[in-house]
Amino acid sequence: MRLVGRQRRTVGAFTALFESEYPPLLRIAYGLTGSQAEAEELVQEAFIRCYQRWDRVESYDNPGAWLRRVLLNLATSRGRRLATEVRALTRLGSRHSRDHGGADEAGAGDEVFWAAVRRLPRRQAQAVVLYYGDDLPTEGVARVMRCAEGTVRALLHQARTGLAKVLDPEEQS
Amino acid sequence: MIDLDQRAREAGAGLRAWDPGTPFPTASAVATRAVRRTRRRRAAAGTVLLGAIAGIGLMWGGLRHDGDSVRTGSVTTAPSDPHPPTSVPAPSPTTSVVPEATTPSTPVGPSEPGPSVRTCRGEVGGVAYEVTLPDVWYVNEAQNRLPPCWLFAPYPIEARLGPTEGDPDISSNAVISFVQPYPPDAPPPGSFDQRMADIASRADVLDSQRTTIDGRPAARFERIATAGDDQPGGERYTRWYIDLGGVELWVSTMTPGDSYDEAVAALDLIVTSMRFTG
Repeated sequence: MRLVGRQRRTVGAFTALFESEYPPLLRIAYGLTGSQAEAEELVQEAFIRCYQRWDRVESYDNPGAWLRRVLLNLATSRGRRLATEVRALTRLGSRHSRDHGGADEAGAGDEVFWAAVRRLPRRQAQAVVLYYGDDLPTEGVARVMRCAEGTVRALLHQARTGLAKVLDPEEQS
Repeated sequence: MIDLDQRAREAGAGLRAWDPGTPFPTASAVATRAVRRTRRRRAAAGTVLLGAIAGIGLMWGGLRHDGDSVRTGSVTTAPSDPHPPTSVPAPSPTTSVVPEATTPSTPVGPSEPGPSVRTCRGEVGGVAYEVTLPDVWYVNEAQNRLPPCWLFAPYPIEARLGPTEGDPDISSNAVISFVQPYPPDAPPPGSFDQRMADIASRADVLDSQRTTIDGRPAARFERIATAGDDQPGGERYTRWYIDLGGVELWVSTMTPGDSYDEAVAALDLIVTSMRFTG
């Protein structure tokens, strides 16, 4: 009976976390990848890892921050995998290559902006997606990215400078 | 000149208002995938273990020309076992300074019993070592100049190396990290005892203990961090110092935003399980 009760509590707590965090995580992943299908796969993978470690994750002060960190790392791994695939395709002389910065669906607002974000250095892109897309304060972004708040502010500043060069016609000229 | 901050805020609001247009999966569907994957992984590990047992059995049988029956009991310590027995290797009497670290909880999934620890091997200053870590934790693999078995975390580790070949800096999201603070060609100043006594006298020390790890002099300090490049200061951290004879090893954890107690338990498990093999 105790086991049944414990399992019930586990399922209930995991479900509550899943339902509250799945939508924002999906948006973060979409902002980082530009692909809804890949975003869904990354977020589900993050939750699978969360469930496999639930005994520990549930005791964390902020399981949402843990999930975001896992998601960022999964997205980074995906980016490296894609880069490897592109290199392999290039070596094979294939004309099939993909635009890392592009989006495969429309509808998430300023796609031009997010495509430019995805071309930023990885840490800058992560900071922008968490700060502007997930609406986290710099303290929350620092917690997810495991760095100091000042580092986040510097990353955001560098990102805005980089984005201005791409998005602002006056800067381009 | 556009206002990038304003445009970014509007783009962020657009992203938050984004409707993917497809129904979300259910938590139970994701949990089911997690359980199936865990079972597959353990089944695969079991197959490897059975293969190792069979291989060792055949080898043992081949060596036993006198025809004695094979005693399979010895294979439980097969070196190829990727998941060692759930108990932590018995600590030496001198490593009992942190007894809770030698009796880890069972960090497994909610409904999956199984092994709780595993091992990894590395090298520091020419000294090879093996450590035990919680089974569900991640440990880094060798990456360019980053040696294996140096970084540990309860989530996938992302390590960033210094920008140049000669730059040994490593930053990562690991919560436990090994550091060799003094270059091999520049031995630490003074004796290990002097250095540890100096640290113990500092005002930021909350707790200090001296012990040995697998026969090597060691010390464990819990301290309060001072503000630095990457830390705001004021955080508790725990660091082990191990004297490897001309080489000093630091093993530390600082976990802003994470479970400090869990990290310290894992740290103590890792350090007290260290076995030096060369």
